[in-house]
Amino acid sequence: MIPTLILNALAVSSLYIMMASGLALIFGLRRVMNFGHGAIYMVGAYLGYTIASGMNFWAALVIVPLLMSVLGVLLELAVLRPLERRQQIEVALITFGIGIVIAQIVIRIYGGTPLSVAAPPLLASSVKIFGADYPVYRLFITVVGLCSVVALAVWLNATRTGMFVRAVSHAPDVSSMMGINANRLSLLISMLSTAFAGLAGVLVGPYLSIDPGMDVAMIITCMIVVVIGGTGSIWGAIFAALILGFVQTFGTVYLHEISVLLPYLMLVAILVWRPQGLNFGGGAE
Amino acid sequence: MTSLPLSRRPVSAMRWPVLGGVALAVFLAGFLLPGYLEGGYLQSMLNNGLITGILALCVAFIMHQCGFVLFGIAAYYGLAAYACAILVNSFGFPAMAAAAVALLVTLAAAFLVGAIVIRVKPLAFMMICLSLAELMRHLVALPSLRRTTGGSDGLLFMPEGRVFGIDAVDLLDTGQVWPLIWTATWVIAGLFLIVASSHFGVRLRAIKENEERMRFSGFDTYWPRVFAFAGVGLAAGVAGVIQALATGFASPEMFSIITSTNALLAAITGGVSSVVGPVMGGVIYTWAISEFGALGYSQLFTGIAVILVMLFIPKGILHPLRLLGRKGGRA
Repeated sequence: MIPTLILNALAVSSLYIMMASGLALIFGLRRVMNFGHGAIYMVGAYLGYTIASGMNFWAALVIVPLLMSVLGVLLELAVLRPLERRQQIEVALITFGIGIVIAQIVIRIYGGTPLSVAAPPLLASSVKIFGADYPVYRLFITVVGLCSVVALAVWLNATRTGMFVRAVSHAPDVSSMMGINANRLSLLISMLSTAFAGLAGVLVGPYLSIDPGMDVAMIITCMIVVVIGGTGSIWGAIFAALILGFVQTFGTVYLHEISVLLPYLMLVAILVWRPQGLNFGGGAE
Repeated sequence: MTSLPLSRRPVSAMRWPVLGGVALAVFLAGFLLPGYLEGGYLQSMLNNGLITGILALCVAFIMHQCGFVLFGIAAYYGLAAYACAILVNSFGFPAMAAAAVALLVTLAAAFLVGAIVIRVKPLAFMMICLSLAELMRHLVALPSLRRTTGGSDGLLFMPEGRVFGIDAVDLLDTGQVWPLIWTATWVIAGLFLIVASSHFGVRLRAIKENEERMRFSGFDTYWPRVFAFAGVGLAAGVAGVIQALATGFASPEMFSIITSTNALLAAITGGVSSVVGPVMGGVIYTWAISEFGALGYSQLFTGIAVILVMLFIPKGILHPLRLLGRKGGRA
């Protein structure tokens, strides 16, 4: 029972990590909290559904993040860059409005009923882990999630571009004086962020269902993760996503329906303890 | 009628009596409205519009006085409605007592939340307030609380007794509940104006300008903002209780992001430094949303309105007009 739960928690956490790290990256670079991130994830999930049913799941897994990175270019060029000088909260609200509009367009196209995607045959089986059958697909989500975090960590810490991203997040003025092109980095980060959201959307299809409320549910979860982790702190967000996945998974089993309240209670508890969030590893703010 | 500023600014000696006279005349004339409208669509739209207007006043007040974007006012609005309905249904309270206790519950909740959220940064404040409204939406929809809260269907209730001399059953009539809504809007707007021009309001705005400086000067910067937050929660609770009494219903939708967004939109469009603007904004948005809602586009409308308002008039509709007026030579 417990090993299964741990694996489930890791699968959920992986989705949250992919979403929250993208959100934290944009925030670090642009100081913008993208409230439309949930809607981007929703678009990813619905596009994943279309491509998976038209071609196959593996195609969706590759094509959707690519398409979503184009959306990231749009986000950067049409929203973040022109609004660079605007107040943080104004931009946050504009992205929120964009999120509502995107979600409504998706609902117009696909209708309001929940959809489901079948896992690809290769991943549809289950394996024995600690004596219990466990669906391979969930392991797959965890593996993809962990790989993306490791890749992100390596990129941020071991490459020149990654160093620039950290530099701009840490001290925007100084790094621009040193000749780092923040706009070009921001374009890259926006593409990465939306591609991650798209990937999470495709992955969620066969695991949970795809429904019209998924954008709001996800953005609220992301906000809780980001606030708990300390606004702008990527490692804080990843750690918070991990905790939240575990709390939710174990909560569902041991506390049943009360578990929907757990993320919020956790948020309040952590803020009473530390108003700035966990915020370790050098937050952006 | 010109907008009444929330912040104190020099006015000519003649301006207040004139403004006061006009305000009194409008206030009194408002009571005659149901006689002309005879219930119907326009009356119910105005009722809902003023309820949104009260929520917008709350958002505007906390934004102007404390610099916080209260993106989750729905939490206190819905909480008061549910508290009122539950007190009537499960505890057999008469209408007036239920309303009073529901407001106390809301005040206590807003105080507790305020004590936590005032300490965080503005952006996190906004996200936490929104999350708490979502928390409430999930809480009332819990299947195990179904007997108390009615689950996701919402909670119907039938209060007995009188509320300020009006029979609770009559409040279900759009024309009869109007005086209550109208008076509440004026009282809340008036109180906000008084608080804003008081010493307390000055202190709040000084904290907004520079919290550190106020702390160094020996002022407490924490409790004034907590009290302001609690007061605003209470005012939103008044709107919630009235809405519950007017419809005999409390629904999880009262907590939705859309409720909070519309209040925020009305506040920003109307201008957060005014009290007339947010109320007018509430009425106009309620009207627009019901028009677009008839076509099935209400959320799309809200989304587009958020984008346009934040892009073009983030300081309110009157701001560009004022700038024009200044350029026109009034200096």
